[in-house]
Amino acid sequence: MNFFAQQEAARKKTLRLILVYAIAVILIIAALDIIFAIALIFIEGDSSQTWNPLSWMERNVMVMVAVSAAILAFIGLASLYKMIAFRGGGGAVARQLGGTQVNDEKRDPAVRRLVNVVEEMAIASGLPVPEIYVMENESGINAFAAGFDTGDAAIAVTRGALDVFDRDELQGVIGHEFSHILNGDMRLNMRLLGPLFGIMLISMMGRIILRGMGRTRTRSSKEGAGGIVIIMLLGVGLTVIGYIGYLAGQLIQAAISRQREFLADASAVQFTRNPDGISGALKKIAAWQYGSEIINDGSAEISHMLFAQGMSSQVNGLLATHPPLSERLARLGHRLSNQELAKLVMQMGGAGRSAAPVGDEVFGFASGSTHSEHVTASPASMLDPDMDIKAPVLSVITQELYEAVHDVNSVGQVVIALLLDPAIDLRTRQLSILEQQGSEFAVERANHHWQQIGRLETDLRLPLLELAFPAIRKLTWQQQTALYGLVDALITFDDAINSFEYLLSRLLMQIMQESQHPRRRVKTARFVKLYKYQYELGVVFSVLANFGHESKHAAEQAYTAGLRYLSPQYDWPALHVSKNWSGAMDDALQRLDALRPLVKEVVIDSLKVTAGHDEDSNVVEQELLRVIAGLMHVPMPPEHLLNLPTD
Amino acid sequence: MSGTALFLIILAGVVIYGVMLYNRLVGLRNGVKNGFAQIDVQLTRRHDLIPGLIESVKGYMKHEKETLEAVIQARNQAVTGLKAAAADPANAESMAVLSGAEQSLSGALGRLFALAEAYPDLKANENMLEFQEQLTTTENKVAFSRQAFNDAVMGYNNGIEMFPGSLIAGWFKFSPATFLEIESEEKREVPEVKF
Repeated sequence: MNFFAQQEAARKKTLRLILVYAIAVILIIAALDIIFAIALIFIEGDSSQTWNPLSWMERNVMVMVAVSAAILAFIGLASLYKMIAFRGGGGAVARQLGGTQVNDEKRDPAVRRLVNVVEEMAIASGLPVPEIYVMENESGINAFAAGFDTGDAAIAVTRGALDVFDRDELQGVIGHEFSHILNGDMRLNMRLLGPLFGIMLISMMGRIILRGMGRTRTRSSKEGAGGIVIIMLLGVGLTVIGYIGYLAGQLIQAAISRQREFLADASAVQFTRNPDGISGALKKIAAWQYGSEIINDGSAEISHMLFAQGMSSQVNGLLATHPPLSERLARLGHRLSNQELAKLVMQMGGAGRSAAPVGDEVFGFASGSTHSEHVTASPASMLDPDMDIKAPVLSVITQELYEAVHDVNSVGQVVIALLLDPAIDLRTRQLSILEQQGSEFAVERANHHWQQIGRLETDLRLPLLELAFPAIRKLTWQQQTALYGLVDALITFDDAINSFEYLLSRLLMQIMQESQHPRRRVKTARFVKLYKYQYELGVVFSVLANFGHESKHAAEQAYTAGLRYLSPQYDWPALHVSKNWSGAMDDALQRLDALRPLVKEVVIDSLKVTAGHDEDSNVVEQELLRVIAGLMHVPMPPEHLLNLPTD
Repeated sequence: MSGTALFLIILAGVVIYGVMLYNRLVGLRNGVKNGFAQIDVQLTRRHDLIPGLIESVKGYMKHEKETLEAVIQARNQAVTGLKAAAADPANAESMAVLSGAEQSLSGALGRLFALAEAYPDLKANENMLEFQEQLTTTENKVAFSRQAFNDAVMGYNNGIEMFPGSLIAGWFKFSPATFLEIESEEKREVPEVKF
């Protein structure tokens, strides 16, 4: 990444936004002027029949100038008041938020490291070393800088951040905070918040006038009616203009704050020359159970100075002071896949609260998006529980297995059992992996279930899994992550991933995501031409053709047939399956998921052509179709699943 | 009359802008000087840390006398090198000697830490961990001060070469500063300090 260019871009955008902000303030003053002018005209009364606006302006120009000056002075005084309230310097802010200054840093190695890293970044940025604070009671990961000047700045870090970040990541975070100090972001923000406060006061004044009028209305007489109209006009005008102005000001302030974050991220890379450090920190924030949530009240005041969005409320979109984590990562040249996120969550003990506060941002779905044309169809809800898809499996499985699959306490063991290999040596290795993960009990139970499942035909694996989905959905996030951890370990141990393993792990992942964000809507890309997805479609069709056909020739024929069906005129890429087909498949499906629902259905139909090219569709093809449809959020009619080979 | 007033106002504006530009360039130039001083400070700090490190590992690493002596020797050479370079920073030759001495010191330290891997007691020793962190941060500080120096040089050179700064720079004879370059990739790397 070119961090100097990115810094330049952020600075330019900030300047433009400040200009917009200034214009907004001027417009507010002009609007208020108009309100006062109308009030003035009412007071003067209709003296002459031909009222001339030009002559009126001439008579009252000095009055209007005075009114404007008064409003300006009012806003100025309010800003001044706000600034005085923050005069204590960075240290005062940090103490107010529960930070303790680092003094005897020798005792705690983590604090020692923090002090060293701050000193390093001070050298790299060419600033004096600020006061350093640790927020001992905050287990969330965050950090902030405060202070008007480089001389009175303070940097505070939560205990959670000290525990979770490694040295490089901490360096990135501290470098980010140094950029806030270096670029005077605190000062800038105060200058923006001051007028905002004044405008808010104007709106408040309007409301006070309206309330006061309500009380005196009873005493009004006929002569006072004109006066009441004027007062009411003033009250409504001040309230409405003040409110609109406040809202507009907040929007611009938030937009500026987001630009400053990009600037700070780019500067952190400039100071550390290591984009991986700050990216790693952002990824960990996404995964950390408490997200970047700050418990202490009053963090709204310093929200713009934090490293990551500090409030748990859904401050998304236009009012957010921080850009979405995914976008920040993208600018640093990184991206966070769902698999990686799940791994991080597990590494960090993924317990209790999930990364919910920031999760929305990580997955990059703009909240309240109007693009959504359909609600996500979840894997299990795609099929009606009573539908007879499960009939064949129900008639063969034992009562014990049936109960196990419906019980939240044992469904995990059944899922594990489904993954155990028929070959004894491989299975022994899998069981020893399970034992290493510290679940002896699960090993025994899983082995027991395996004996029962082992008697089933392979074509019943998928229906059995479908039966398990409702119980899996009822598991807690903690249990789901633990289960995913085991599944991942069992799948990856032999470096080869088969269709069923792929299906199980990806659908499990999807369930986890959906139980975290039950009302997630899928953002749909409009007007995207299919040929833009040539590569992705090639990957998906290749995998399906390759798994479903014995000979390479047959696979190629099925591949071409499917894509011809999809669109005969394009030049499709040649059949190609890489060794790491699952990763390529993940990426491809994630992109194809953005297609419009109708287009997706056509894609699925074409895939069925590929699968059915050899006049019979086998289990592997069914499984692959099922997971492709699931990940692309296309409901798969059950008859295609029921169409199992009868041998 | 009003034409003269307008002219005077514009002239005053230009002069004020020129003074501001001049002050900015002086600030940038001082940044470059300060950047160089920082490198010096950090190198000295590293030299000061080493006797303490040797003292604390001596007891554990009795059989590694040669390595310990090599570290001490490299450190002493670096100290004299730094003195010579500080006395005459413009002398390219003494700077080269210094950078060579620093290089061999880094190498000796790297070997010491690699050997320390074999001593479990030492690895768990708090003093040792403390020293390891101190050396890591000092190595980083050396690297960052070099980098900050080069960034400062770039900012300063941009300031004096770009219009309208170039006018002021030409007038008051600001000369461009040179980057501190390390010849090979190898030398750029600080030794991996790991336990």
